[in-house]
Amino acid sequence: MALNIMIVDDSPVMRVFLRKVVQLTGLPVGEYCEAGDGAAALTRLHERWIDLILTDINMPGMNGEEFVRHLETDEMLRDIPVIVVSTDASRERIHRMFELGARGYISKPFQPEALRDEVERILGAQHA
Amino acid sequence: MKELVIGVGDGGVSRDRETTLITYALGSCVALMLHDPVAHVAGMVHYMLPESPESLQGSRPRPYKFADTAIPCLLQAALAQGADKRRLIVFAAGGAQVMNDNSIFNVGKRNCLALRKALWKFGLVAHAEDIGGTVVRTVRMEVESGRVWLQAPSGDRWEMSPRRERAATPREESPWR
Amino acid sequence: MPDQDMQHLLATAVHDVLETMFFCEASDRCEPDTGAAQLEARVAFSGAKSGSIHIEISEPSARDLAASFLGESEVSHSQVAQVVCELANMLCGSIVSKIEAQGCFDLGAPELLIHPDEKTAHIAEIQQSFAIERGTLTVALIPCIPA
Repeated sequence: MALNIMIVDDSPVMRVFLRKVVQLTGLPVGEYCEAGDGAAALTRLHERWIDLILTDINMPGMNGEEFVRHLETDEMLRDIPVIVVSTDASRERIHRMFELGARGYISKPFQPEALRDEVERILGAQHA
Repeated sequence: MKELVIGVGDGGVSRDRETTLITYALGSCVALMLHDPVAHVAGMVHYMLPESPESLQGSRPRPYKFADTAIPCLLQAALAQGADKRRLIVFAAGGAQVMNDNSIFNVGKRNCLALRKALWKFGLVAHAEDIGGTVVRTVRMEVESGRVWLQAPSGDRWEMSPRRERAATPREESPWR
Repeated sequence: MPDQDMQHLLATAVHDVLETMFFCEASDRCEPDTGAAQLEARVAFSGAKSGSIHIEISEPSARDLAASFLGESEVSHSQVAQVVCELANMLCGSIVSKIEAQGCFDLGAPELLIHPDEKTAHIAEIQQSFAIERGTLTVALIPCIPA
């Protein structure tokens, strides 16, 4: 069954990069949905089924931390796995994002295979 | 078991299940290996330098000498033999810092970066790497199984395993004579 | 933090980001390239310390980095500009994460500096230039001076 992936990052070129990384997994992706901030992502999440979210933290408008907090409070959305991909490598932030329900955290800069492995770990477990 | 020796600055592909591809003495050079486990197609290149001179691009007299021409050539050759890019398992070895290279002429490191850059351009990353360091490596790849074995000048031998695809197994006899 | 440690920290961040995400090697210190056109970008940060990271990169180098990052042979000017912004973003995050390993910080949106009046003179706490393919990259850490 094809998977739908949401990529939330204010940088269009970073969204292209993340899409290429997901393609490395060889998983059957039906659709990539993209959003430039958390608010736009929340709107789109109520329009279609999403199997995995990759989100940045530092974004104008609703940032990634607020976005993940909103997901946790929404019964329809809280079970969607989230991987944070961010320049913020501080222990405090990483801890907070896992407390908020993120399943994975990748700090930039990262090797593409590191995120590929994380996506496979999470989606593999989901669809085992 | 037949051997197909890949020389320095050279590359090759095989579908013969009785063949092992082998390349010797990888110092700062890098060996890139591709294997399709369904079509049993295996390819290997032993490239020396990261970038071909602009004057050579187009004519490409020795495409396997340079990372930016070697990798697309090897990929094309493998696909022509029936490999499917989506099934390819990718291995890389070499790129050592040898002979007291200083940072200005660190060819090994530049070869490793060129490898990643070229693979990324084709939507690939290595599934297993044994790169960098100072060890000069010899590499063998079996066409039938896709297994890759390395050997150091000391005589030490070890197998490269793609991440997550092989559980830890006891050290088996390597195909060295 | 002593100046020498800051210089080392900045250089480490530059090497990490360029090699990991852009497959590009950077030399150690050099003089900035004043010949080619430059692209400039800035990212502000706030937290226990505040300031900004400012980068200048030779246009041919920026084009090469964009092509490497996107895995393409040809890239548009708009893509080059976006990649320069993302480079500034990653460098800022990497440098500030090392300075503020324990605390938390926020990054502003990267800004490409186009108009001459945006390219204001700044007093950098530290600044280094690195030789990269086809040009140079200069990175400066500019502290926020309280009013």
